[in-house]
Amino acid sequence: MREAKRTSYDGLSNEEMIGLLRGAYDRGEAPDAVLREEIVRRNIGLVKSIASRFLSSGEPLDDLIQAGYIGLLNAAANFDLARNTRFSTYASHLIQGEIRHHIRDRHATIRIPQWVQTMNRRVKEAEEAFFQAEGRPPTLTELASSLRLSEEQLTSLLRGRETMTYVSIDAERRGSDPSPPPPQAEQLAAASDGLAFDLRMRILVAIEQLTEIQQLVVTGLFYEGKSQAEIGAQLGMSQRQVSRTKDKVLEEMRENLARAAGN
Amino acid sequence: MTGAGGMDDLLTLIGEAIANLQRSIRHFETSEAADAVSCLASVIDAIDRYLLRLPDDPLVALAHVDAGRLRRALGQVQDDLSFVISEHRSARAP
Repeated sequence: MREAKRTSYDGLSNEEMIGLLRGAYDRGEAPDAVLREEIVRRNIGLVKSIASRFLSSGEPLDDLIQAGYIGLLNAAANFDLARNTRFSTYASHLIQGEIRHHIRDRHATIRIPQWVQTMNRRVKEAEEAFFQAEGRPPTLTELASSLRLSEEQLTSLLRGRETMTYVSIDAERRGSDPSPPPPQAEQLAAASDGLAFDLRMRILVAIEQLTEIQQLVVTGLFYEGKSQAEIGAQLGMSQRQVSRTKDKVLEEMRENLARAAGN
Repeated sequence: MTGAGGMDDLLTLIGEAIANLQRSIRHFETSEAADAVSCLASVIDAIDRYLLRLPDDPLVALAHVDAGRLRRALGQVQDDLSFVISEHRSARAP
């Protein structure tokens, strides 16, 4: 193993070196390259230790360490000395963040089923809305209730979310992330029928997607970007035919709405 | 499926597709799987037929809907429903 090079910063603590680094930034000077290297050298163990916890992602360790270095350098540049926090604590969060970011970028090419994406979005929105209202994360029961799902269905969903979206890094994430995933997912009982739930969700998402198109069309009908004459010319119809088509559609929509209200 | 103007239009397709999908869920829930699959298949077929006529649908132009985006969205619905049918069949295969 190569012996560490001695520098003039050897006797300084992490925090003292960061103070020198920040001083250079504050004066608008380029920081001493040796100082930056020394900060990285001192914290290589921290970066390697954190990176090794993400090996289950399948990414090479060297790549994880490289991503971790970026987090370390960001930590050195942004650490607030006025706060009574150890540099290593602060740096750990940023190193983990960069590594997670790297893994997610690398795995973005995995096709996540539409229903999982949609339900992930709904879970996230429900969690945020609950947190805004109550000032704390929801319990499983509360989250299931706000999503109009049974607890069993939510359990299946969280399991699918974990395996498909987070590519096996969530287990590590739960241990140390300041923004933890949905509550108590790991404590939940097994779901009874994941396949049926998966299929049902796909159909529901198909309905949702069709409804979104429907809304797009209805909204578009009331937005006059092109004249009816222009549209007629484009479609080989007279302006009068275009107008009749639109009137007919609007009339059908009105009848449909009236029927729906009567049901 | 004949909608406004005496031809297949997008809103009619969507209205009927949603009704069929809701029906399929009810059939699955009451263990009438064959009827459920039939409803799903009819939606896939209807989308296929509509995609052939899409360039002639005045609604798409009237509503300023991007035809490429629409094709992709409807294709995704077909993919999801095909997946449901195929998973259901493989789950029931001996």
